[in-house]
Amino acid sequence: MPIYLPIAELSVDLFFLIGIGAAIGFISGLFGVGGGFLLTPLLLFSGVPAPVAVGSVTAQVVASSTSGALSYIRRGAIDLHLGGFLVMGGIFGSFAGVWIFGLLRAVGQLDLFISLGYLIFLGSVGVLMMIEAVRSLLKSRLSGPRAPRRLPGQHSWVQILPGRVRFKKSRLYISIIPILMIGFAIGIVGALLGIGGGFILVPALVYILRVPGSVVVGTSLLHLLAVMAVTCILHATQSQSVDILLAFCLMVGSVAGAQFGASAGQHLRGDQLRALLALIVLGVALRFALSLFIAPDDPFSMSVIGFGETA
Amino acid sequence: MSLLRLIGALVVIVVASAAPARAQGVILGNSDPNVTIHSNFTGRDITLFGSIEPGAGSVPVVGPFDVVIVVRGPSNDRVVRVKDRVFGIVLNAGHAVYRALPGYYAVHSSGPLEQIMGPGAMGDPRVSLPTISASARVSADSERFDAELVRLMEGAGLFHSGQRRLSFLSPTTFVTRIRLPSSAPNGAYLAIAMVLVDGNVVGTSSTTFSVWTEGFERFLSRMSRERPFLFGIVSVLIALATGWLGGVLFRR
Repeated sequence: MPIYLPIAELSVDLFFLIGIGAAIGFISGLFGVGGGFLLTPLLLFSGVPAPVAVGSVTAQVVASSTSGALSYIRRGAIDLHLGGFLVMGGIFGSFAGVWIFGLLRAVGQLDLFISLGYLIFLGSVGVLMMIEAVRSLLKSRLSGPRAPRRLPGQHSWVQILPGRVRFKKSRLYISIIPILMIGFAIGIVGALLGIGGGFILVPALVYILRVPGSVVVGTSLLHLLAVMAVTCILHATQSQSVDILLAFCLMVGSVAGAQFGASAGQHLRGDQLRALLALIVLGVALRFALSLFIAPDDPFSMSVIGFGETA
Repeated sequence: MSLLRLIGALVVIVVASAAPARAQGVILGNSDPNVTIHSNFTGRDITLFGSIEPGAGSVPVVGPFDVVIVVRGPSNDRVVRVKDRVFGIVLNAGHAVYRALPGYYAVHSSGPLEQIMGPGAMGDPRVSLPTISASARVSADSERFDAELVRLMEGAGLFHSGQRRLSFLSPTTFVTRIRLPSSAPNGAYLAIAMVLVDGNVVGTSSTTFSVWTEGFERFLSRMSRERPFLFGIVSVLIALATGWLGGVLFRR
């Protein structure tokens, strides 16, 4: 059943949209990730224009992180104080990201930037995840369950920065500068590439800030939700590229798919899951690499110059 | 509104320039004065038909008559980019800008244009798609993009030339079908029929129709342009509501 997407200005099959929403939802439920980093590439590969893909996925990420964030708030597993500083940095990052997005679009290199960005980002994350997963798979095969990894020593560059604030819930007394910086960086990347950034934010919170495991996922979900909501409004305002109909079809699919993914995830082992996710991430990175290095069949492309754009 | 007025003025200019002969002796009509784009719109055909009155106006009593119909849609600005290898990476390496390019242009004729209009048809701004493209180009020294623009627009179904696609039902009545793709721009369309005898235009007639996206989709695209901030906030609220409802339904 074809459905006309008013902002993307193309007709696509409704079941195709719900289907990729469900597939991404399944993966995000299975691995506990947001899924934006797979959804935006999938939309790009199916011919949705880059601004519309990025803008619409921000709305989808808001939907897919809402119920999780709510349940963490109910359980009190969020450090609102820390989250507030993160979100503050994230909102600045989001403004910067949307501004850069507009610049790149005006000079006609947005597609190139998104391909390069995803290649570098997914490529490095995928390789790191793969190394980690293979190492832990080998270790568990050699010596049974592996010992929990010790965090690095207590004194790092984060401790010596000025502007320290006490965060009661996380039992941390750290400078707000790295918190704002992390929020800012994730905000920029999220606005440019159409990803929530949860799977860079969680390691950053754990390894750089030493946020305890009890609040790290909830706090990162709060950041994701708030910053993606702001990014969505900014994309809608600046580039008018949020296709809510597209986003809604994806949301419906992903909210349902996530349930099946979560229950399927309970039957798989953690290191196997990580290896599988690393494979998927590397596959998408490879697809971007191909688009960067193999000349397209038709080197010419055409687009309408929209309101406020210069070329 | 001022944009519509501008389009109206352009249409008047086009009519005036395309009609050296008096609009008499030929009548043109269409099947759908209002074409609406629905959510399942994949393209639509409309029929244009007309009749020649021999002896009326400057139309001679005897034929044979040739007919050329051009259909022009609302203009927009376009940019054509070319990808090239720079330091091993494929990227957009050049572009040409086209201002006020017709967003839709179809030329249907009862025979090969060069036979009907003479050898000048190749450069005629009324019927030659490359000439129309070249005159809309504002970037200098990028002639190579004109042919590519025509090819891309034809691929998108927005430019169309159908030589022999116009048929005569009788020596004086003619009919043709033009296809509007789903990407056809919204707005007023003008169709002009030119009747030719021995390469000279002896009569013209025009008809208009409008293409609109209808219903919910039209509302959405209008809101996204006219109230972008509100549109963004409502999008976020919809996302929050969907996510919350999903959580409640599935007890996450």
